Amino acid sequence: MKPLEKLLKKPGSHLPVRPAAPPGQVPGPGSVPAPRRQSLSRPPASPEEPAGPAGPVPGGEGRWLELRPPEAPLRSPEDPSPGCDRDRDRDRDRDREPPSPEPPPAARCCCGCGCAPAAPAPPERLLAALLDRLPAAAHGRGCGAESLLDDIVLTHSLFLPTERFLQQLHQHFVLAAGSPPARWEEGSGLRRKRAVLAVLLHFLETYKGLLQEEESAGKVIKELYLLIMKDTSLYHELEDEILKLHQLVETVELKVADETPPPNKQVKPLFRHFRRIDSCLQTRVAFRGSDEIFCRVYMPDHSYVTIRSRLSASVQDILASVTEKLQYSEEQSTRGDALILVTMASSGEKAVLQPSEECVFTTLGINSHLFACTRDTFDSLVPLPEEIQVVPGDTEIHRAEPEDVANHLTAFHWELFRCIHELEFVDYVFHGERGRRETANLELLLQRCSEVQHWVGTELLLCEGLGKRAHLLKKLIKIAAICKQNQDMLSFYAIVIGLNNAAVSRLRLTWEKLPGKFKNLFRKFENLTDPCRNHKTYREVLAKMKPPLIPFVPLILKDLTFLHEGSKTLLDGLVNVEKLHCIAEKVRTVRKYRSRPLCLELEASPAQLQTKAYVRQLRVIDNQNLLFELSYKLEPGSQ
Amino acid sequence: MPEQSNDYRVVVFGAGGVGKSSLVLRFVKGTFRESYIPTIEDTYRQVISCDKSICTLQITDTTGSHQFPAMQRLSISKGHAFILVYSITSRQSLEELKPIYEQICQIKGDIENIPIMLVGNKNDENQNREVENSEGEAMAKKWKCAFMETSAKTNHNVKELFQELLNLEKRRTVSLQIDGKKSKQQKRKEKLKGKCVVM
Ligand SMILES: Nc1nc2c(ncn2[C@@H]2O[C@H](COP(=O)(O)OP(=O)(O)O)[C@@H](O)[C@H]2O)c(=O)[nH]1
Ligand SMILES: [Mg+2]
Repeated sequence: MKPLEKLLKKPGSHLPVRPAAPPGQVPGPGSVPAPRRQSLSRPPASPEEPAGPAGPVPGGEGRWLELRPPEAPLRSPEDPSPGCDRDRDRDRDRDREPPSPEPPPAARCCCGCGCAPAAPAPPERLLAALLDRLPAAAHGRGCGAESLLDDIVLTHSLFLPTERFLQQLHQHFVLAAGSPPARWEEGSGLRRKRAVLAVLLHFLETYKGLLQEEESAGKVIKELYLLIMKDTSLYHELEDEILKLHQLVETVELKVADETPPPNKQVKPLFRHFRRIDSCLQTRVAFRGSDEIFCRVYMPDHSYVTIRSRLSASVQDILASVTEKLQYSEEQSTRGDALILVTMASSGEKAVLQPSEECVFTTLGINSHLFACTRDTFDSLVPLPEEIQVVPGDTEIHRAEPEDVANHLTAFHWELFRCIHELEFVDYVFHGERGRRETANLELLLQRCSEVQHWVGTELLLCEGLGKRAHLLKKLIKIAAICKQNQDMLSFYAIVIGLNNAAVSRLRLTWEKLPGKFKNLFRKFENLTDPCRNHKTYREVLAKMKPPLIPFVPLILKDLTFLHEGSKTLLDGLVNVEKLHCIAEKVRTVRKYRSRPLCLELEASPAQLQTKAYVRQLRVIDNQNLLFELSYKLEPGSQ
Repeated sequence: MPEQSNDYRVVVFGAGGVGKSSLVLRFVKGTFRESYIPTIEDTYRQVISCDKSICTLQITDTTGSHQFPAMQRLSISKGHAFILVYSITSRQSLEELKPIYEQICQIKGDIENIPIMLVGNKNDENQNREVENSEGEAMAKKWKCAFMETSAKTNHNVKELFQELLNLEKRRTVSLQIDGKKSKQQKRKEKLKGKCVVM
């Protein structure tokens, strides 16, 4: 199960469970559970939406768009969004614009940002409509076109694969460079080319770091880039932009098939098994699908092999490496005996992975492991023994100062948060509907969030003495308070959820021993994380914070999922621009949170390094049954 | 890290390509392959007897390169016994064992009580021999450990290697035979190896 699902499912998690996943997902013995991808956080592709870009434009709608003068702001004629500073403009526009044939269901600015949304358009025309408006932005006429540009660059993959989007951009440039259509005014060819350049620049800025993963998109960019570089008319007018383009193309390391591959990347240690090495102290860098990682695959008898694999490897690829390593001979791998790949949680919950599934590594639960076995041995698989032996709690948490633990938590979570590419937020929610892009860094953060929750419970429940446990409880509340001060709402939320775990909250004797001041403080924290009225309290607190801050990321994903499921992307062949805008607005809030660096002053003394290493490689029990067992052992009579 | 169960852990070290994985796979599964697949870290498990009860023998096959010093340190500190492999066809591979041996000494300290076996593998390739048997013996004497020449390819001395290594363990009685608390008849019972399917 994915961490977010877990969070959504957990009774104390404050997040409502959405109906997609039926309860009781633990498969009975012998049953092969449904693929994990059908998860809460990734709704299956909605059948209403066509799988590919729509066919030819129905003439009427296309004309409807062409009627609009290029300068006129493209806004939804139906949009009554209040509080918009351009309300009067809109009223005037409304008179000029022919009524939309079929108003989109979400004509209202759904994110409440008050920005002017653009009108819906067929997928093929949306880019043209954007290009029409772009010179306006170049002359500083308000943010409308710029925000539309950003909206479309961030979210086009909802209705158009990135490669197609770039091909269209390329076509527009070729068209503008040739003889312009008769209705174009003087110089409009040049203006169109400049608009294409602006889109390309913005695209490259946004996709930086991701493009080396996309070979075919890289090819189109290279071609377009060469066209632009050869265009002298453009060069004279826009030297700065061209130079910027040149620089960007250099830095994005486009992967084009006929070129020498980039120098071998270092293998990155990703898994718990490899975390206990020096590298855990190094600053985290973002993972990409082409990164090579190590991965342990276990056998039914708990033997294991370590394979080296691309992060994006498919289950099939993984099984091929395992088979090769084990000298799994041909007779053995005849149909019936072929290996299957299984994920198993510490609780024993297991699921078969489908051969075509990709990048499964980052979607594993905290203490889940990959197993390779034959179909007949599936039933007999048992989880690895708990890695944590129940030794009376004497870990670093008892020695370290709460300030230090909190600051190291914040620093680490900031690193993880920064590694997430903006597009991962979009891709995570729409995963599986359009071409796949990895969302590994986002998944790792979610995994971490769940890890912190379990860490709180694990430490408390491994602490045997009542007095010592109450002291630890106080310390954890203090840590949550400092995280909140650090504007690290992710750690804060995770700790509060962890303390609300039923196995912890039932420890009546421990809670009774907590000083009144801390009881009150925790009550306040519970209020702050109360999900009522759509997390109103939390949202208000967050709104008052200035960047840098670390939000409670699962809530952002919940909002995005809500936006996605609440309205269709395409309606009668028109793209719901409103929806794109709202999704892009969400992504822009993340951009804002990270717009300033988070600097904490952390010493590098040995004691500090020890705390740092501890915080970065938490060892937790994620088996709820085991946590309950520990809890009942500590306080049998409670509640 | 708390001591894990009653597993008996053997770690195999040596330069890349000397035949560590081949020895382990020959022992565990009875197979041999000509192709070379670099190892990162694999661990195989077998049931053996230890102090008259059943326990698990864990054999950890390591990478030849020094790419992962921290992993190497961790395997040494967790290991109970060590196999140091070189190839008789490469003097260099014997030289490369020195730093590993020294690291074991440094981490384990009391080296004389640690079962260590120096192994000259590939002794089927006599025509390409670079290290004489006597040189291997001399090195073992210097290192106060046992010595043996093997061939994973021809299955020469492979089972003996593991049995001898376990015999070196003085702090407990570990044996490939499962004798348990049962009668002497059962003591001579077939080895579990053949039965224990390690996939
Ligand atoms: N002739 C011969 N070749 C061997 C022997 N053991 C291993 N090899 C070969 O040596 C190469 C490296 O073996 P491998 O076990 O992967 O070495 P490792 O890197 O030490 O694990 C492979 O091609 C094996 O087939 C042996 O005893 N005799
Ligand atoms: Mg090997």
